[in-house]
Amino acid sequence: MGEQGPFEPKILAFCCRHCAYAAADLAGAMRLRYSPSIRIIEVPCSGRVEVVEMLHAFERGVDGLMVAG
Amino acid sequence: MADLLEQIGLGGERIQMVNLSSAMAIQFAEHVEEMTKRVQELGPNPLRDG
Amino acid sequence: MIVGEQKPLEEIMALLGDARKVLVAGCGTCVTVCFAGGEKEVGILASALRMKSKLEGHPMEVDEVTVQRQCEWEYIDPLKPRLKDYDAVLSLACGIGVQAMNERFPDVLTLPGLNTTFLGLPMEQGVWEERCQACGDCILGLTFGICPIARCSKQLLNGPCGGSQNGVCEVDPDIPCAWQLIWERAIAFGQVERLLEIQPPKNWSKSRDGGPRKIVREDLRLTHTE
Repeated sequence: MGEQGPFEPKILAFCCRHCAYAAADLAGAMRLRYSPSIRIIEVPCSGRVEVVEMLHAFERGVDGLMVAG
Repeated sequence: MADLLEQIGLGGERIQMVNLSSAMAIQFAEHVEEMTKRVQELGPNPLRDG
Repeated sequence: MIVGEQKPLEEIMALLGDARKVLVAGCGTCVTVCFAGGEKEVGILASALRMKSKLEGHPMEVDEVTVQRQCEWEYIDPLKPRLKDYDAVLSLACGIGVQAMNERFPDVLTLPGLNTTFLGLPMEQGVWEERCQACGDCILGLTFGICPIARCSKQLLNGPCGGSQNGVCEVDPDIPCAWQLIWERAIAFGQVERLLEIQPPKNWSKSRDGGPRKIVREDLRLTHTE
């Protein structure tokens, strides 16, 4: 991309519906500020996330990945 | 998983597992900030070429 | 079942060499159950190979397929029309599957992505132990159901030896002494006298010492040679 300074990364977060996704929801309700680099995918449980899905995310170019449960 | 990313050559630090309860909004925001900073230091995914 | 373990990614990359188009072929039987070469592992390895080869500057095209059993002609025959498109096949089956592929499809080289390790048993999630060496002349009936050929480091027919201490083998304290276990079973069944009889040397001609083995069952064959 060739821009200067710290780039804007794309970070994918698989979030458990009942824990981390709810926490993210609450963070929104509390008007907390956090980086816009995160892209959240809600999953029924973080145990649902398969290794191959994480690899496909990297294959398609995400810069970082969080699994939050 | 981190070990596999290391073997591939992407770097194991690009992945992070976190445990949060539904009340931990502040910690969620902190983890996102921390991860963003870490990935910024690592630089873009070398596979991301458009 | 047959237990295998995936080779390191570096070794697989070296095996594939200059191949640009690769088919990763899994097997739905033993290696699926031991999490080494089933559909899931095929997907992970194929993705890893695509990324690693791209990062190293010579991107590979990697496709995926998993057949129910790579060690039987009828399951692998449907792959035939696809194979001409590939520089190499990377098989995640056991050594039998790899050889079946090479034998059936001589025009394409099928390479092994696993180390076929042993015939064994899953003890708990993620732990496998060797239980059988396919010696061709089963003696489990003499040893109370515990095999000293597979489980005694010295393959003793009359044991234990002096290296058995506190129930573990001198070769490695992680190995329980098979003969200790056999004696405990004999005592539990009240039949220690059966172990006092000295066993003569084993007939190894039924094992690998007689060369590659083969079973022919005339009652099952469709073509008889009489």
